[in-house]
Order: sequence, then structure tokens, then C-alpha cells
Amino acid sequence: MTTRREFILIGGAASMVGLSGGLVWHSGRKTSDTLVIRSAEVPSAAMAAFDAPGLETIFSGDYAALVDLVGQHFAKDGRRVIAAVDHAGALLLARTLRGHAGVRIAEHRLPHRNGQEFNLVIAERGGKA
Amino acid sequence: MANSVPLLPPGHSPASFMGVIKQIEAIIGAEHVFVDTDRLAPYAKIMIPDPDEVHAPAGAIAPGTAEEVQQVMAICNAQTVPVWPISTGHNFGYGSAAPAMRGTVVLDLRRLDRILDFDPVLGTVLVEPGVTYKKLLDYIDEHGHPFWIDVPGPGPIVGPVGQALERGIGYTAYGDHFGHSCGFEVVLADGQVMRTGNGMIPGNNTFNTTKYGYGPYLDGIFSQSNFGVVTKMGLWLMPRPEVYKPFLVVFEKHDDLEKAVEICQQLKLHNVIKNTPIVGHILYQIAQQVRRADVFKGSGSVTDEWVSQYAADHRMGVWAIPAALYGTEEQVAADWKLVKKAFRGTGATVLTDLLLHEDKGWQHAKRQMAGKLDLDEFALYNWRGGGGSVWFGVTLQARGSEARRFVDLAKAILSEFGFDFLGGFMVQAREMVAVIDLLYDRSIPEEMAKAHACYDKLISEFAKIGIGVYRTNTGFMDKAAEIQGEVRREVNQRIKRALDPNGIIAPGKSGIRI
Repeated sequence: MTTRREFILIGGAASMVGLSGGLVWHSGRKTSDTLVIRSAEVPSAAMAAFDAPGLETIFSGDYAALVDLVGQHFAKDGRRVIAAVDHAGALLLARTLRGHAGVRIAEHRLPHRNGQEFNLVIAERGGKA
Repeated sequence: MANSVPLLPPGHSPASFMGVIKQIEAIIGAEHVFVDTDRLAPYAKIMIPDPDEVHAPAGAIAPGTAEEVQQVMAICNAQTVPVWPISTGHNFGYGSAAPAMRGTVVLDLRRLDRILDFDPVLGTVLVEPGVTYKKLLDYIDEHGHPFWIDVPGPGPIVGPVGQALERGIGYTAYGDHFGHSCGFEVVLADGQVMRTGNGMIPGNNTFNTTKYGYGPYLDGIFSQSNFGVVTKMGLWLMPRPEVYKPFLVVFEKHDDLEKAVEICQQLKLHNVIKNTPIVGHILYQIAQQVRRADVFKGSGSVTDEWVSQYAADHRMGVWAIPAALYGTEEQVAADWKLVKKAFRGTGATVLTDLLLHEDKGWQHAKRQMAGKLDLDEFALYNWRGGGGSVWFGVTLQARGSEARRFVDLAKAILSEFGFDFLGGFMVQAREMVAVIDLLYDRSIPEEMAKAHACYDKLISEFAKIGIGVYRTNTGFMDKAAEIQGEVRREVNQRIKRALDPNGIIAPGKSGIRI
């Protein structure tokens, strides 16, 4: 299971985008089965190192669509979802996916320099959160 | 299968509990039995102001059929392993999937997810507890049946059985969810199966059409209770109306509350408005649109003055009432005249879809009142952040003076602890349900302690003026039951002892134990 340690927190890059830590996908990990979701408010640079840009989805506040999207990803044998979303989105993902169909979820808070805060949710089939 | 047992049911050793688990695994499959900490995490994740460990389950088991439920119950009864039945387990702000009593095993019925019967003439459907509203709506749409469903806020991810049993409320003309259920199949503590109504008569076909059958009406004792495990439920569906006319009534001042409630009550009493008009405080809407820290710079609770100013700046009222008319063109036209007449000269503004179509909050209300699904209300949890939510809900006489009494006392208590009044009134002909979502940051221990103390005080202070909750969370069920008095508690206990002498079904639910 992907842990937060595998997201390298780079202070310099982070401050450029306003986050307390820039999130960079571990370069050695295969990402073709990974769905990346980002709230429109989360700067794209914060997650720019993902090497599967085609799978990135912008979350615009439709929570039902968010739950559907993630559910469908796992239903289609997707392995991993990484979502930088608001509190409510993270709360929903954690409660609708956790424990089901072998999917485990880790949540982390992601403070933003403007005082706002997002949540990072990592959901992965199998393994250990 | 786990390699460690984190927690045990009362009176069990690791060996005895794992012996029970092995028996259950043999019936439902090891892949549907969870006892390791990681797998149990979803069942322990709560939003109410109690530490997780207070409600930590010893395990979770997910049978796939009613017959498996019977077999599991027989084992648990014989071995005295308490179980906490859940349907979809998303009872947010009331305890989610976690049990009232630490060490209980969650009986997860989500795999019982079949739609067993649908009658397109009588408008009845027979569902299992794991059927979600989304699944039901998809089924209706797929088959082109001319019916609507009625959904609560978390509609797509929860289901009608849990909603009806908890006596939840929705937004169409069929918003009384228990009232529109008909016929329960119940697995009793010893594994026997009973059907309510006339459902036990061989060949009888009124299980989902006739509520009362013969003799005592039993359905009610299986709601908000722990007397059995409901494995099937009949549900009545609302015929799709020829015309649906949603509208929004806006009052601008805090002091308009009494007037708003009284007009809605009369329109309900005379059956003009068919659904439940909700006299909602605007902060509930504001909280879905912005974060508190971004807009409110003061300390303590958000004040009435701040709300008035914010509402004025954003062209909102202080009280907003979404409601709807349903029926034929002629019926709706006649009712619409009565609605406009009722609000004329009161200072209220009556808005229709034509004027509101761009508004996101309105789109949500419009969908809800038509039985459509979204999760937009979850934006509420961004208001404070931190994932803390606990609902306080009471029933009142449907009078303006009662609404005022509720608001004044609730605000006084909330402000003592620095929390905000996010709530409203679901007005019926004679009664109304008043609800508040007490939002707090669960990641801050001091704030969680304050939320607990605040909720405790809400229950206590309202009890002093004769007002009790209509539903509560797993952390306060004993306290809410105490308010009902000793005789009521004893009657519940006698029924419990008769139907579940070992006390294995949901100990502590609604404060009921053997």
C-alpha cells in the first residue's frame, strides 16, 4: 500500500504552490491503474509529477459523482486512487470505500498556506494502508 | 482471517470468540468475516463526539442471505455473542456503523441487496437491507416504472430499510419513511423468522399492501429497537405526478420564524402542500457554500447579526422554505393559488424554479423533492472541517411559538460552547421535527469534549421543558431513554427479555438492554 512516505514532500516546490508539502508521486511506481483526483482549488503543480495525466480528474464539488467515479475505477480493476479533495469529499471516500472489495484507505490532512486545508486520500486495493 | 484479536465481546476469551468466528466463517465464508484491526477500521469510524474506542466493534460479519442471517443468529445466541445489525452503515452523525457497546460484533447486511418484488400497479417494492436508494432508482428507471422514490440527504449511498427503521424523513410527499413501509421480515434472536402483517399466512399476498393484519401491530417495535433483525421490507412508492412544481419561500428576518411555521402548518393541515416544507435557517445553506474560517472572523458562535448581514449581502433571507406541489395540472394550479394567497402580505418572497434555476442550493432542493439523488449536502462538513457531526432532533407541536422556544434555547446552549445553529423545522400538519447538525472538529480533543458536553446539555435542558429527542446517536441512547421515564424503560426491557433473552441483538440500542 502506498504510504505517505512514498509521497516525497519537497519544501521548495511546496511553497511555490502554497502547500505545506508538495506531493510528488514516487517515480518508480507504475501508475497506469491509478486515478488521480484533484479539487480545482488544489494547484495542479502540487500533483504534477504524476505520470498518468490522462487519468487526472478535477473534482468540482459533485460528491455523488466523486463516489461514483472512484467506485467505478475499482470496479474496473483500477488499483489505486489518489485524491486531494476537501473535507467532505475525503470523509465520503473514507466511509464509502473503506473495507470494501479489498480497498483500504489512508487519509492525511494537507494544510494550505492560505489557511485552507485539503485532505489527501489514498485508496488502494489490497496491501496495507 | 485475522492473526490477532484486538477486542473481545463481553465474557469471551480469545479461544471462545475465535471458536464462534470459525463457526460463522464455515457458514458465510472467511472472506466475509473481519476481526483484524485494519479490516474493522471502516466499522469503527464515527463522527459523533465519543472516542472511537468507546464504540469499537470486536468483529464484523457480512452474511449474504436471510438464511445465513438465521444461522449466524442461532450461533451468536447460543454462544452469547452480541451483534449490531447495520444495513449500509452510513448513519452519519448518529454513530455510523459502529455499535453502541464496545465489543459488539457488527452484523453487516450490505450483501443482502436484492430487489425481490416490484408491483407496478400497486406501487410496492420488497427490498433487502443492503439495497441502496441508487440501486432502487436505477431499477425503477431501467424498467420505466412510473414511480418516484423518497430519499434522505445521503441518498445514493444509504437505503430504505435503514431509513425506515430509524424513522428518517425525506422530501417528497412520501417523506415519512417508516409510514410508507409495509411488512417486515424479521429474524429473531433464536434464528426464527417472522413476517409482520398477514405475512405468516401461507399463500397470503397482502404482506406489502396491508399494514396491520390481525392482532397487535408489531412493525413499530422493530423500529429504533433491538428486538429482531429486519431482513426484508415492503415499501410503498409515490406515483410519478403529472406536474411537479417546486418553489422556495424566503423570509428576511430572524423574527419571521413564527409566521413561517404557522403558514406552513396551515398549508399542511389543509393538504395544500403535499411534501414536508422545511423552514430552514440560512446558516445551514451558507455552511454548504463556504468555509467558516473564510467568512466569519469573530470568536464563539456565529451571531444573528452576522447571519443577517451575510444574508443581506448575498440576497438571501434568514429563513428559506423549499416545498413542492404535486398532482394533475388542475390540482397544482389550484394549490398554487392557495400557496400564493397564504404568503401574500406576510413579507415573504415566493420564488419559482424560473428565477432560481442557476442556484446550486436550489438545484439540490429541487432534486430532493423529486426523489433524485445527490450528495451535495455533504458540503456541510467543510464548514468547520475535522469530520465531527452529531444530529440533535426533537419533535414539537407545529406552532410558531414552539419553534421560537426551540431556537432560543438551542442557540443559548450552542453559544455557551461556541457552536453554530445549523438547523430547521420539518413542518407537518400537527407536529414538526426540529433538527440541528452540531458540527465540530473531531481532530481537536478539546473541541470534541465540548461537543459532547454541548450535546449532553441540549438533551438535558430540553428535557426540563418536556421535549425529548425523536432519534439519537449511539453515544447518548441511554440518556435519551432515561428521559422517557422508568415505566417506559421497563416495558421496553420486558419485551427485550421476551424476544431476546440473552440480549444479543444490539445491546444499548435506544437504551434497551436485558
